[in-house]
Amino acid sequence: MKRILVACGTAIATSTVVAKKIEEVFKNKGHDVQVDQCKASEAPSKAANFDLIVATTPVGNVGDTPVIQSISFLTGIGMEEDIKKIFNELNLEY
Amino acid sequence: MQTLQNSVDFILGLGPSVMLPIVMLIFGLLLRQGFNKSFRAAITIGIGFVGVNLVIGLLSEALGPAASAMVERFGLNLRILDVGWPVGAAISFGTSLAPLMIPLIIIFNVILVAINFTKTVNVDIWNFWHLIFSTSIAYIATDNAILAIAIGLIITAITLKLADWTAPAVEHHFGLKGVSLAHSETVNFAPITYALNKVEDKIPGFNKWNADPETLSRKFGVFGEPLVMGLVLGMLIGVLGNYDLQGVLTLGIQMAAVLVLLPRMVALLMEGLIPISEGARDYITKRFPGKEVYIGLDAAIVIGNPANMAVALIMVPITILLAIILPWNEMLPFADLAVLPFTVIWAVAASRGNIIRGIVNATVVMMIVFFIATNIAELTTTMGRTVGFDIPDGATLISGIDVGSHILVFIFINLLDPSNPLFITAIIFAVIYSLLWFWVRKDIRKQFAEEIALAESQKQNT
Repeated sequence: MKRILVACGTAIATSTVVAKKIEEVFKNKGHDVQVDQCKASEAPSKAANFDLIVATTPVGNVGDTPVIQSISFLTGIGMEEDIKKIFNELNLEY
Repeated sequence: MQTLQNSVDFILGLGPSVMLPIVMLIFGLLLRQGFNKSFRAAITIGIGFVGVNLVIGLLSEALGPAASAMVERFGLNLRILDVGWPVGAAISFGTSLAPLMIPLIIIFNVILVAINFTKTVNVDIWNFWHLIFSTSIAYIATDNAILAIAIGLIITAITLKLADWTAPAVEHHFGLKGVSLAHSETVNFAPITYALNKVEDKIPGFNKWNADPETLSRKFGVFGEPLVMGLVLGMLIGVLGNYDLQGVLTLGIQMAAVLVLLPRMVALLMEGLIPISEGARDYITKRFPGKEVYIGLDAAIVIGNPANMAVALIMVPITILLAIILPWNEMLPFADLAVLPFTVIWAVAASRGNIIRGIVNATVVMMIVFFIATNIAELTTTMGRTVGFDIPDGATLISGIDVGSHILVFIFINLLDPSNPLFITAIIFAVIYSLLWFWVRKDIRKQFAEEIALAESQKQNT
């Protein structure tokens, strides 16, 4: 099972939107995924346990875990491409 | 007629945890999100409400007595508890005007874009809570719903204008094109911080000072985590309140729990708003095909900027110190120390990420915040009580750093009543605020003149 960490300013507003969308897309494609939310400031200490970080705000000091920074889930523009990027990064078929 | 009155009273009497789900279910269906999705979302909102109330219970039961013990022991004048923005948001969404304001703000925004008053299309339904807060607090202050709604909409319009004005900085400083931050309680500081920056430009030598954000973030980053911040602050208040070891440790864990649990509960409220939010986004953006607009988003998308995080962390101890020494402050900062990355956004952005200036600007911002937070506490507490939040009786007043960041609201509600002791202050605030904004109105475009020229020449080439 893949583990994704979604980071935003508060771990409340924008990351909830992103996390729910990712869960929905993965479920529809039949993949198991665990999505956790956190604040951008918590990302460095949590990063090591995750395969990928999706962030709505810049995050730093996260070691080897790849980061995709995106606001497409919020604006609705370019969401499809970003979802493909997430699948690519996790080596999954879209 | 009597039956109608009775049924309206019945629905309002249900309290937010029941009323809000019913309203949201209706909104979801109107925005064609389907029954299943809307129903689940509506119930989730109700659950979020119950959850927030549980955590507030823990916060006021545990922190309340400890804070007053500390305050009494040192003779501090800090009788107002900073319960944090999650509580402010929950209270706002629970007020009787909230169900009306959500569609009103959306329609008002669409009209303002159609008549070219603004270019910002605010799709950030979540942060409508600030605008609803403005409206509801005006309602409590005036007991006049029409006037309150008018004030709410005026503040909405000013916020959209501020978002338009700061959009070049969002594009060129934060690197987000086509986006503006229509986030009233952060962007309303921009005229003040840009004015400070303009003054700082004139001080010789000052503009050369800077510090490295990465190093600062790495060194102090751990204090930005709610878990550590809650534990440390809880234990500190316990020690200062003269608790025994068991009490100190318990308070530390309890406060860590509050800072970790509160956001999770509010995240449920947010999750429940997603269908409305997506429906509204499609509704608004569909209305302006081909028109050049900014998508108005949550300022949360820029706070991770390294300079911003660094300043926010350094502001934690400075804020606590300010709370103690400022003669006009009566609020003990706590839960909203976690919200400082938002409060300082425009303090740091105005100086294009210069940390030394960012700290100076943020300190001035906090001095204003404490003044407003103290003076708006009584209304906020009344509002909390009306939506049924469990605020202990007696001396405890609630407020917050975020609540205290609503400059525009503060000005408007105090301008309404000439007999109010803050009437003159509000006039002075309003005049200074307008003059400052006028003074710096061209500064953002000037700051990014090179970048804007480059972007425009690229546009012509393609």
